[in-house]
Amino acid sequence: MSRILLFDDVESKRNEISQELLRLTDKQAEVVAFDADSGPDEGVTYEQHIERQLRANIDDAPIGLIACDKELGMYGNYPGLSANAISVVARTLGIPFCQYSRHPMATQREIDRFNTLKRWDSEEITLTGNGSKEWAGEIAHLWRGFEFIRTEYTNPQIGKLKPATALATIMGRKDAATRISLYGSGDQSVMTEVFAFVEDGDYDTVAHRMPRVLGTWLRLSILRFPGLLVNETAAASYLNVSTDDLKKEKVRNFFSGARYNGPFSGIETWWWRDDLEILLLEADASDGKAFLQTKGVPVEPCLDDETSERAGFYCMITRTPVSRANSKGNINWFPSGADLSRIRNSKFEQITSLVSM
Amino acid sequence: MVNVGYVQGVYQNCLAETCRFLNKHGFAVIVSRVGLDKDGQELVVTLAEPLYFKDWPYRTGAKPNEKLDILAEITETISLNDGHCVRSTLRLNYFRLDGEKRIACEAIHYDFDATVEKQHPVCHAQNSNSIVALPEIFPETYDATPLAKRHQDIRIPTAFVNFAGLFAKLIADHLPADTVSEFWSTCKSYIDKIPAHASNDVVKEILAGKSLQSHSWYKW
Repeated sequence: MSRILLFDDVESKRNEISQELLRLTDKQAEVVAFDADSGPDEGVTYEQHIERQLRANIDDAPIGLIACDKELGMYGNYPGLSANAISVVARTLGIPFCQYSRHPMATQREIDRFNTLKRWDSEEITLTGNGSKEWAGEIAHLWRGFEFIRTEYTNPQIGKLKPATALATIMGRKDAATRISLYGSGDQSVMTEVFAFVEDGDYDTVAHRMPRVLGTWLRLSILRFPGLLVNETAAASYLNVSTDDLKKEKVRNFFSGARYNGPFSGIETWWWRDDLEILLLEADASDGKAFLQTKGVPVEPCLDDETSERAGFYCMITRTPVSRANSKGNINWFPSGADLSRIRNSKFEQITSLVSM
Repeated sequence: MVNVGYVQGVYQNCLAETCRFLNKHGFAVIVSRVGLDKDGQELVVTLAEPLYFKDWPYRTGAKPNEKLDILAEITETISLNDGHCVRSTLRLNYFRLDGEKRIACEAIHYDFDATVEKQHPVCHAQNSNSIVALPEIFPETYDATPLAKRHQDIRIPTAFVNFAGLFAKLIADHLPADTVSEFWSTCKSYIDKIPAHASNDVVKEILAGKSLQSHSWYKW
C-alpha cells in the first residue's frame, strides 16, 4: 500500500485530517504530512525544492495521493506557497492530486463552478465537502480509487489496452469503452500529460503515469458530467422520480442493479444510465415513476422547478433537474458523451453576460 | 433471441465509434444519443435528435469553400425474437452553405418494411420537401425554396439503406479516399453489428402475394 501525502499549513487541521484518514483507511494508508521545516535554497524554486524532497523519499514507499489545502500561507519557510505549485510537482512526478479549500464560497459560487467546469480537462480534483471530516472521507475514497486503478493497471492484459478500453475494464464495463472515449475526444484531451512520453517511446513512464491520468479523467469528466453515468440528482431527473423520493432506500433498492461500483463509487452514488434504461424497458415502463407504480410504490415526478415541466436533464451550474426546453445543451466544452448535461437558460444568459462562452 | 441491452450497446457503440473517428479527423458530427422504446417483442431505436454532419465537403474532392450541412433522422425497429431489422426509415436533409446562408438543396428518405406494403419497393428512396426536426444547435433560418415544388411520390428501388448504410453512403460520397479506408478499418466491426433485415423472411413475404421477383422487388 502507498502513502497519502498531506499539505496543510494549519497543524491542528492537519492532525484532524490525518487521524480521520488513518481511521477511514483502517491504517492501510500511511498518512504523512509534508515536512516544511526547511525552505528552498536561494535560486531554487518551490516546485524544484519540493520535487527533490519527494523524489528523495519516493523509493521508500510510493505516494498514492497528494491532498493539498489550496491556501498554504502559514508555512513559515514557504511564503506565498499555494496548491498550484504542489499540483505542478504532482503532475511532474505522475502522482494523483486533490485539493480542498477552507473558503467554501470559492467553490460554491456559480461563476466559479462555471469557470472550473469549462477547463475541466486541465484542472485538478477539488473536494466538494466542508471541513476536515468530509475532506478526509473524500480523500480516503480517492486514495482507494487510485490504488484500485493502479493495481488493475499493473495487469498486463489491461496495461496494453487503449486508455478508454482500459478505463472501461477497470470500471467493470468493458462494453462501454467507445462511449467512454467520447469523454476524452475533441479539444479536451485528457491524454496530453502522457503524449510526450508516448512520442519518446518511454512506455515505462506512460505506464507509471496512466493511473493518475485515468483516475483524474474518471473523476473530473465521466463521473461529473451526466451521460454515461448519472449522479443522484441526474438519475432522479432522468427517471422522472423526485429527488426526495429517490433518496428513500425503498425506492433506491429497485434500481440497485444499475449502481456503479467502480473506482470512487464511495464518494457519492452513481448509476449506469443505460442499465437504468434497460430496467425500464424490460418492465415496459415509460419512466421510473411508471416503473415504481408497477411495484406498488407511488412517487412524485421530477420537475424543473422554474417551469414545472418534466425535467429529464441536469443543470451543471445549479446542479438541479432541468427540462430540455428550459436549458442549453451541446455546449462545446462539455465532453461529447455527456448528453444529459445542460445549463439552465436563466443561468446561461446570466453567465454569458459576464463571460464569453 | 436478443435482449434490449445488446441492441442498445450495438447502436450506442457504433454511433460513438464512428462519430469519434469522424470528429478526430475534422469531419464534425454532433452526436445524438440512441433512445429505445419497447413495443412487445419489437424494439424501436431512435435518435434523440437528428445527427448533424456539420460543414462537410460538398463531395469527395470538393473545393474548400464547397460545404454542406447534412441532417440524418433515423428510426429502426428491431425484432427481439431474431435480432433482425423489420422496419427502417432514414430521413436525410442536405443544406448547401453559401456564406452565412443555408440552402436546403436536397431532402430524401430511405424506407424499408419487412411487412411489404403493396405498390412499395421493399427498399426504396423517395424525394421529399420536408425538413427533419432541427437539432438544437442547428441555425433556424434556411432557404427551403429549392425543395418546394418537387415531386414527392417517386419511389426509387434501392438496396437496404439503414443506420449502417447511412455511414457507408456519407463516407463514400463526401470523404477523401484515404480517410475512407481508415474509417472502414477502424469502424467496420461496429457497423457490421447493426441489425440487417432477414432476407429470407422478406422473400417469403414477397412470395406470399402477387409479386415481381427482381432486383426491384415489388408486391401488388
